Amino acid sequence: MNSENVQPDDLKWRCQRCQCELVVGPVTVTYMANRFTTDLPYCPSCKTVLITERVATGKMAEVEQILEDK
Amino acid sequence: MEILEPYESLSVRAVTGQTIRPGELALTRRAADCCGLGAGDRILDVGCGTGATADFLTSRYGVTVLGLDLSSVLLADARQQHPALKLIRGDGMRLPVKTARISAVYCECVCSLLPDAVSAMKEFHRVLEPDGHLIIADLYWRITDETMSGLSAGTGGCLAGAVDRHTMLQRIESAGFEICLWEDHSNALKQLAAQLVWSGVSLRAWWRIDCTSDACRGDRRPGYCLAIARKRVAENDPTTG
Repeated sequence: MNSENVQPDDLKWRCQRCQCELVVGPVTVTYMANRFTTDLPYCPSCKTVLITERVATGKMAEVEQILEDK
Repeated sequence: MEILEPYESLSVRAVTGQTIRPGELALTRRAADCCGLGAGDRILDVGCGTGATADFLTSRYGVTVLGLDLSSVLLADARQQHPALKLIRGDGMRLPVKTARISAVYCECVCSLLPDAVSAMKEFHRVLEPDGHLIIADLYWRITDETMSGLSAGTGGCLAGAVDRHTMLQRIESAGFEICLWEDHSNALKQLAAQLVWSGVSLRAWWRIDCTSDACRGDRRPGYCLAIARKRVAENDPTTG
């Protein structure tokens, strides 16, 4: 498991819909017809993925910059 | 050897796969189809790494491949995975191959790593038989104006040796080749770069450039290309016999 994108505090979140604790596993992310797989926390029941602010403003933002020709 | 370290890294190869470059085998296949490679052709794979290209070409096209790489680490892996392949340790600028014996030279994501790509082109020309093909897939700078000198200076890894399209094609032609095809495949680079970032590989550390900065936006960025060229044969070319 690549724990780069997951911190221990991330796993303190609970899915409100399913009342499940989050688990970490491979998640496929699609952006502009590009697909990536990385380990992220998600609800094992409804599969909703948690994107923390740290990931959104960090790696996800960097990946967007790489993929977008702006 | 510092230049080889990222490619020998297991964590990098976990992301790139065994080809250790953008596009994996897609451009390898494209070039083989364009050149009409088949049984009887002798291929030299310069920078063969773990043998992925050599294995693919051998099994898919029935060609004979000689793989050459500077990395003893990657060659050890290659020999373990593909014991039937002919693989040797060597320098892309001093090829241990006789003149005019090769049908096609593959140089995938390698030229930008060579200390002297101009000399390497001449070596590629030497070993190719008349009308033989040179296949280059590599990083290049997608901008050609004067601001390039500021952008490329201080970069590292495979980016340090990258040049713009005009320079790349000029080098190939100056070495005695005729350009048959040039295609941009920058999306393959973007895909791999993004996956490396997701996996925790720092492109800033590897390339020593911040691709998210204003100095590196739009076409002021590294791209990836496929170039195919054919060896021109001069009237007094000694290799034609």
